Amino acid sequence: MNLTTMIRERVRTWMPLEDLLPDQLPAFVRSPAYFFGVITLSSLVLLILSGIVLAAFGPQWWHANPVGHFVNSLHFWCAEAFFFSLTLHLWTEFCKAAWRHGRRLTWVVGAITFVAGIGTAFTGYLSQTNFDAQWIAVQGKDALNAIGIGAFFNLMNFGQMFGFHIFLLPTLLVILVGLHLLQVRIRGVVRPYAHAWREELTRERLWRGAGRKQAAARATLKSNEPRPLPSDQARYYRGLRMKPYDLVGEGVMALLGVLVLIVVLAGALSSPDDPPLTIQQYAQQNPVGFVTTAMGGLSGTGTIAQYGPPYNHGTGSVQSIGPISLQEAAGVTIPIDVARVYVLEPLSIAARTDPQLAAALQTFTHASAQQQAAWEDAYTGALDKATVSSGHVVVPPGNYGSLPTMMDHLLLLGTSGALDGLLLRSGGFYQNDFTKPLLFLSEDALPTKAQQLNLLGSQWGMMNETGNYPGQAWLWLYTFWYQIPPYNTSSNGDALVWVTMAVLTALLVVYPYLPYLNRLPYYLGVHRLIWREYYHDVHAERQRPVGSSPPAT
Amino acid sequence: MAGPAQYLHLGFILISLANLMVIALLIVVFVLAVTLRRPAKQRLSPIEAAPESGEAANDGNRSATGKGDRS
Repeated sequence: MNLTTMIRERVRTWMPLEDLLPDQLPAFVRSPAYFFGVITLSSLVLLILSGIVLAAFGPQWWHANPVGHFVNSLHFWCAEAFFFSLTLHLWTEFCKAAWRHGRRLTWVVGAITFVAGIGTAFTGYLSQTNFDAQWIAVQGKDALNAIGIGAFFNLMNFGQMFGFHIFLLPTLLVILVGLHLLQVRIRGVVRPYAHAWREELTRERLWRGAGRKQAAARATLKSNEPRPLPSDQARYYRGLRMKPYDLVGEGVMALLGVLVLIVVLAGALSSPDDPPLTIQQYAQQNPVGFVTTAMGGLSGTGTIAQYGPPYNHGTGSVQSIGPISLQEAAGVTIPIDVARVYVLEPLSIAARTDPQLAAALQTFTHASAQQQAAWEDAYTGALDKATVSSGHVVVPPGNYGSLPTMMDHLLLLGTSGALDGLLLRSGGFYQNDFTKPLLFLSEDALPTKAQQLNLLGSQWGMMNETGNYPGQAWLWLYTFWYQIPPYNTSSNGDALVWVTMAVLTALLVVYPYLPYLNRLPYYLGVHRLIWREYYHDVHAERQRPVGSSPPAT
Repeated sequence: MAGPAQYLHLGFILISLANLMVIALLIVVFVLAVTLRRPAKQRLSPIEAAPESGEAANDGNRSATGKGDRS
């Protein structure tokens, strides 16, 4: 067996150039309902081009440079255009039941492309390095942690997300889109539904594959022709009116049209870019909140201290689906000793040049656990009545041990910006993992600002954008579940939403294989609008006396 | 655009005006796409003169034909 010959013959049979780049298509294709695929493709091309420019110049450029911000705006509006047209492509192909006559895998690849597109966009929003990215990271982490994915896919690790966004996921997306296009061109677009359901079934059996059903279909048609090849478009379209078509020209026009649209939108409306929050800002603007968060970490009563996997062995945020907890099964992969990371370690570094702090730290660390807990309880309680004087947090007199001194120095580290830097240390030279500072800010600072901007989960925040910009409207169904019981009342809400969406997504992908349900487009009847001219012509032909000439059109 | 966002609160639905406009635009474009007619009927292409046979006849489309059969 000569593999080269075999592949060459298979390519020649299945992918003749006249079908891959035809200059004639069935007349029914000339409907606006067929344009959304090429618009989606054009948006993807422009997304990739604008993304390459952004990646080449880096975050500082797109935040600070006017040209960089304009390219960032182009990328933002390209993403909106991509999902806008992709959604319409999905709707129209559903209404046409485009998976018929052997095209089920084309639908499957298209649906997987849709999911991959969402993943690519999601990592893009995480790579913005602005407030929106911070908030999406800390909010999304709970959802991913709930099903164990967060143990390996850390939304707060900018380097990991950036790598996924600019290489891994776009590569996957381009491969999927290429495969989808190839599938469409090999088999061609699907024919309109036959007038009678019985005829439609016969055609389905004839073109879907081999076997007894196909043989029965050929017998029904009294066809002496050999079994049809899936790529035999000439035979598939036989009997249909064909018209000249310029696929490449249409693609170029769509590309130019989308380019003009996004340039206008980017120029006129710009794009959202709220600056990121820093621990320094938080400490300066809300010293009491900063110290309260730090005390929650030191005493082990804060949300992160009690969170559970992947950060520690707590149980506060552990979710499960029935008896199964994927979160616990994934384990502690990003270990964070909250008291040490946020309080003791930064203070011990500062204590190297500060004897007063060194003494305070020694007093605390050498005290018994019971004594430490008593001081922590008393000081945390006193913070409710704390005031700020000359940049210092002042609490009513009480027995707090050395905690006031420790917290005063920690506040100094916070307001000076030193704590931001200390928490970014990961042992290497290059630092791009924001897990520790973002977890600290996720206790209070980020949710407070997000609530003001209607970005909380209970506020449909996952589909909202900062400012008056359109957000991720395609996430509406995912967001929807968080608004209704039992999802919004269960402590396992994230895991339940994931399971629900996983099932619904799987159903979308395999929809063509669902018996009876896959006939829904036929009964919806939207196809009669899309193909009304085709049906009109077929009806006219049936009314015409045999032997007479067709009317000139 | 960067100012405070406008929101509509309808029962448990809280939606930004921008998102609502996008969704409304999606629906409008979809309706237009399936209902709009193409500008004008074009002339039949020459290949339609070829005789038809086989399974296509089941559509009852007696005048329409296809390209040469490769099988």
